Amino acid sequence: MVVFLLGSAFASPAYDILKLRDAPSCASLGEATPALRDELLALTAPDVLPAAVPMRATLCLAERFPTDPVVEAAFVAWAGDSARPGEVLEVLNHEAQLREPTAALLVQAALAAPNARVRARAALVAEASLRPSVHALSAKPAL
Amino acid sequence: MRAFLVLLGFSLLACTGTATDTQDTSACDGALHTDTISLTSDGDGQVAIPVSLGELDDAFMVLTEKSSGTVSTDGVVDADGNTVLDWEDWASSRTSLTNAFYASPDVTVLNWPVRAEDGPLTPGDWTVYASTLDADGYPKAKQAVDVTVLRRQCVAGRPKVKVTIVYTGRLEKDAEVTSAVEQAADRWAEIYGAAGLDIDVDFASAEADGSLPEPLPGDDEYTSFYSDVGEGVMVVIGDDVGGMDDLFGEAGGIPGPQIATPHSVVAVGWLIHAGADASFSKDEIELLAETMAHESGHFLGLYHPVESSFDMWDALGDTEKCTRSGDCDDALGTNMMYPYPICNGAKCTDQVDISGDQSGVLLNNVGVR
Repeated sequence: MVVFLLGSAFASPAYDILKLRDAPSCASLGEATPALRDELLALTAPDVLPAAVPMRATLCLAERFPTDPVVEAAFVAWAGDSARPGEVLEVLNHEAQLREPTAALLVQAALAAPNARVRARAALVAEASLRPSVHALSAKPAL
Repeated sequence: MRAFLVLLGFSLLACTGTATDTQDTSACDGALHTDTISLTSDGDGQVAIPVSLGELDDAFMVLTEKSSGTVSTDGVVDADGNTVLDWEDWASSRTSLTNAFYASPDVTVLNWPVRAEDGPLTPGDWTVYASTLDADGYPKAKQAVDVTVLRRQCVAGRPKVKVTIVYTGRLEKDAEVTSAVEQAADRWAEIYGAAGLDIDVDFASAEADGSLPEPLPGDDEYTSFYSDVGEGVMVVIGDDVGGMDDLFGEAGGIPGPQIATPHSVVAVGWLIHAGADASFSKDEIELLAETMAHESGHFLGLYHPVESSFDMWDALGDTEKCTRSGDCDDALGTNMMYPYPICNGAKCTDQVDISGDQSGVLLNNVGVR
C-alpha cells in the first residue's frame, strides 16, 4: 500500500507544484474535487519526500477542503498519530479555518497527543481561540 | 516595535580551503565604505547617482530609497563614459541579471559588478541612473531620493561573508531545532567553502513571533533586526514563513540590501523542513542546509539557473539553458540554486554545486569580503 501511495505521489501533478521552493499556491492545484482531495491525502504520507510536500499538502487540505468530512476526520485522527505531529502543528496553526466542531475535536485530541510540542501548541491555540467551544478547552486539563 | 537581538555566543568560521590569490593585494583589506546622499529626480524623473571609485575599490552597491511612489535602477555608466548596464537590454530578455530594474516601493538594490565578466572596475567617477516613478510606473519628476553607496575595497586572501542566524519564537530554547540549524550551518559552510567562500556564523535570538512574515515592504521588524547585525546575511529562523504559502524560505531580494530595510533578511521556516514527524532526519538537515545556502545565494545575487516554468534562466554562461524538466533535472539538478528538490522514493539529490560563474556573482557582492 505504501509503495502504491508513493508511486502515485511522484506521478501526481500536485506533487510537482508542492515541491517548488517558491511559493506554490493551493489555488493553483485546480478544482477542489474529490480526486484532488484524495491526491493531497496521499501526499500527506509522512515518508513522501521532500518533507515539504506532505506539509504543504496538509495546508492545502486545510485551505481547500476545510469542511470535507473525510479531511476533518483525517485531521482529528492524526492528532494521536506519533508519525504526524508536524502536520498536526500545521493544522493547529490554521485552526480558525476549520469548522468550529472540527476545530474543537482537533484541539481536544491534540491536547492529549503523544507529542509534547503538539500538546503545548494545542494549549496555546485553545487559549487564543475566539471560538467558544475551542477556547473552553483551555480551562480543562489535558486528557 | 524595537526588537533587540541577543547574541548567543557561538561562532563558526568555515575554512575549507586555502587562499590562492597571487595578486599583490597588500593594500586590500576588504573595507566597506559608506556614502549617503540625498538627491532629487530631475524633470524627467531621473536621478544621477555619483559613485566615486578609488584604485582599490572592486565592487559597489547602490541602494535607493524613496518615501512615496517607487524607484527603479536604469543603468550604470563607467568612469570612461561607457554604458556598462542598461535596463533596456534586459527588459524583454528571458535571462535575469538583477532585480534592481524592478520598481520597488521602498528600496532598490544594485550590486555592481554582478558577474565576473562585468568587472574589473576602472577607478574614477561612475554614475548610476535611477528613475522615480508614480504608482502606475510612469516617471514622476522632482522626487526626493535617499541613496546609500557601499564601496568595497579589494579582498586579500580568502573571502568570507558574515552570517547571523537569528532564532525567533523562543526557538533558541528548542534543542531539536537548534541542533538541526547548527548542523545545517556546518553543511552550508561546506557548500560555500567548496566555491571559495567562507561563512562566519554567529547565533542570536529575538523576541518575535515565530510565524515569520515574508520580507516585504512595511515590516519594520526585520529592519530592526538588521540594524543590530550591521552587514552580511541575516538568516531568521521561525516556525513558518509566509503563512499559508509555507515557504521553505525567502530572501529579501536578488540581491538583498546590505543596510537595514524590511528586505534585509533571509527568512527560513524550520517545520516545513522537519516534515510530518516534526523531527529532523539527516536528510532533512541536508535540505535545511541547502535552503539556507539557496536563499542566501539569492540574497547575494544568484537567480535560479532555470525557473520552474523552464522558459527563463539566469544570465550566467556556464549554467545550462535547458527547456524541459527532464533535461533540466539532468543538467542542473545538483545545482544549489535549482528551483526544487529532486527526490525519488527514498532520497533527495544533494543540491550543492555552485558553478564558476555563480561563484563569481557571490564573490562580487559587497557583503563578501
